[in-house]
Amino acid sequence: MIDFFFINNILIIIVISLGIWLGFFVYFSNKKAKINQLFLLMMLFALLWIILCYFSGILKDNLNFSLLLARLAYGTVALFCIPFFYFFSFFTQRKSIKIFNFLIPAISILIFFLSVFTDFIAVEMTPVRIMEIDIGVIPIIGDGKFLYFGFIFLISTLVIIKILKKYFTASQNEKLKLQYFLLGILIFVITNLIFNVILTFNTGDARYYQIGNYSIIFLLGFTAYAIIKKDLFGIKVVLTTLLVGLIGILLFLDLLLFTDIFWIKALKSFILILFLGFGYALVKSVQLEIKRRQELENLTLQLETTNVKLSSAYKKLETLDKAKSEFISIASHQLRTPLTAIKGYISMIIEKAYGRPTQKMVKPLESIYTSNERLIKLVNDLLSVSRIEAGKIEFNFEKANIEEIIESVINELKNTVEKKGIYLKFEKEKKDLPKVTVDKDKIRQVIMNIIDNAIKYTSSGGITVRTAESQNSKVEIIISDTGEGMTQEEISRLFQSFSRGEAGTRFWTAGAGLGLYIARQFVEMHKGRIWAESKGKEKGSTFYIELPI
Amino acid sequence: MAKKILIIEDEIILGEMYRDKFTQAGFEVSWAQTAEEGIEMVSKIKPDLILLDILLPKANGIGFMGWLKKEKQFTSIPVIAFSNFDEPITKKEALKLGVRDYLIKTNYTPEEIINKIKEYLK
Repeated sequence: MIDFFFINNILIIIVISLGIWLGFFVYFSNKKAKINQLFLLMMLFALLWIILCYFSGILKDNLNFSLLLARLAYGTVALFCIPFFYFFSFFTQRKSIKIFNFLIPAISILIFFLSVFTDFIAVEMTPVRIMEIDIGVIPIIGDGKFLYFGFIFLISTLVIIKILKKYFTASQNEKLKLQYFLLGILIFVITNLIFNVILTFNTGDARYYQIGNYSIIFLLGFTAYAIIKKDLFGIKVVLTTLLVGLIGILLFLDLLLFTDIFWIKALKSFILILFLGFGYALVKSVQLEIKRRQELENLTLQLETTNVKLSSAYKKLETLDKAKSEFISIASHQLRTPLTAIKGYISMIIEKAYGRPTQKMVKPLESIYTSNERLIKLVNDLLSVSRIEAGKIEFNFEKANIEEIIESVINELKNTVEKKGIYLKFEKEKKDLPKVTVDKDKIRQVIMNIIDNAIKYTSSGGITVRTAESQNSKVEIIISDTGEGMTQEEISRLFQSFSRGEAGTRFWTAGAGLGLYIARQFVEMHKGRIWAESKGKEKGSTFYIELPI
Repeated sequence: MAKKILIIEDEIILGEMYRDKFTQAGFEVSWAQTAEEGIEMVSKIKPDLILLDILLPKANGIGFMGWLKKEKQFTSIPVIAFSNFDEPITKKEALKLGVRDYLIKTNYTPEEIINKIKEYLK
């Protein structure tokens, strides 16, 4: 059977090596950071304490030297309290009461001197025998124990309070770090309670008390990990690993120290291997679960970030859209001002406001007026199209008499058709049409655009407007002309934006193909339908507008 | 007695045109080129109708309407907004502040505007 002291020797080598490596690894990872410097100091004091305890415990033949080492060990713990306190003050960024900043180092140093040079904490060394075996020496504790342990208890309490206070305002990552610290402290305290207090001073079994000392490596190890590692494992993974590790160690120790019979050894080895396998799988599955959750959280975060970006882009677009709409409104305004002046003055000249114009002048004046009207219509159409495309059209729905709207359009276009030498008539239904809920201005613009278009493409004959109430609660406006007519292909392209029937390109044209497009958009916004039919070239065209009642 | 019309219009070419036409049509015309000038003239001449442009230097037509709405003795004066600024929100706002109509200048000849005025003066 392997001796416990042999294991102790191995353990102390592992702990010291691991401690030195951790301390300097953290320090060199960022030499300038105060937190890393404090950590190295903490680690050095802790290791010194472990080494002093170890040698003090085994020097059973030189009790005076052993006592000195034990006192130095107690003193080192007092010194350890200084970087320990400052480390957590620094990490949690919680300011201490000013007097603590002076008192803690002062008391630590005082306790150090009292511990080393008086019998304040260690009076003398006493051998420990268990089951007739000499297992080493331990100190007999002096009267200063209450002050000594009270001080350590106070420092630990202050640190834990700092961590807990910080915990509630910490970010997710900081919280995880604090969980690591707390876990490290917890393991250290529990192990010390078991090995150093309960076992050593209550049962007098001091064989394992150094295990308690070694457990400081958990406190410092977790702390180091929390400082260095950016992506910390969830605390669940750590706890699972620790539990698996602890059971694994216990099984291993049991196999090593308390099993002599070969077949039982083989069986226990098998169980240990099986346990390690399952333990590994368990740790991995917890890790995987945490990773998945983390991924989900990251995705949510990404989604939130994308949402923020999208909303900012949307706001920018809205601003741009507003700027564009304002620009179009202002540009239209600027274009319309000279057009208004031309329209006004020409109309006044024609109306003889400035005297009778000569016969020769009348036709050119009328041509200027007509051309100007086309320009005005073009500006109006462009404004309408830009609003349609931007989805900014506003409607003012009201019950309206469609026949009245048609009559007002015909009235406005009377002069134009007369000048062109064609007719424009309205064949009213005998029965009155029901009123329709429409935006009067928009529907007027639709009818105006269709009739205006018919006038353009009709050079002889004329245009007839009819209305009808269809059986499915709809009102129909039918506008037929004796003009150019259209092919099926032309009809299919008729209501698209910026396109015109072929007839338009051959004959004189005025619009930019916007009128019919606007008409279709407005009718559809009324949940109506607009379409055109033609029996072919030279056979005229008929436009249908259907509006729900 | 001739009806008094106040035109508030900053475009000189248009202001002159409407002033000439309305004078020929028998109205007594006053013409202000800014909203501020318009406010002064309303108190001074007490017009029977106001033709109000919307885009004006400094205070605009909406600002003028805001002032008029507060002046109880003038609220009964019919105001017709006539502007080439065809923007639905502004239009809505003007109508809310009490303009009787919002005409797009370019769609009407001066003669047609006179017909509208006569309707509102009836």
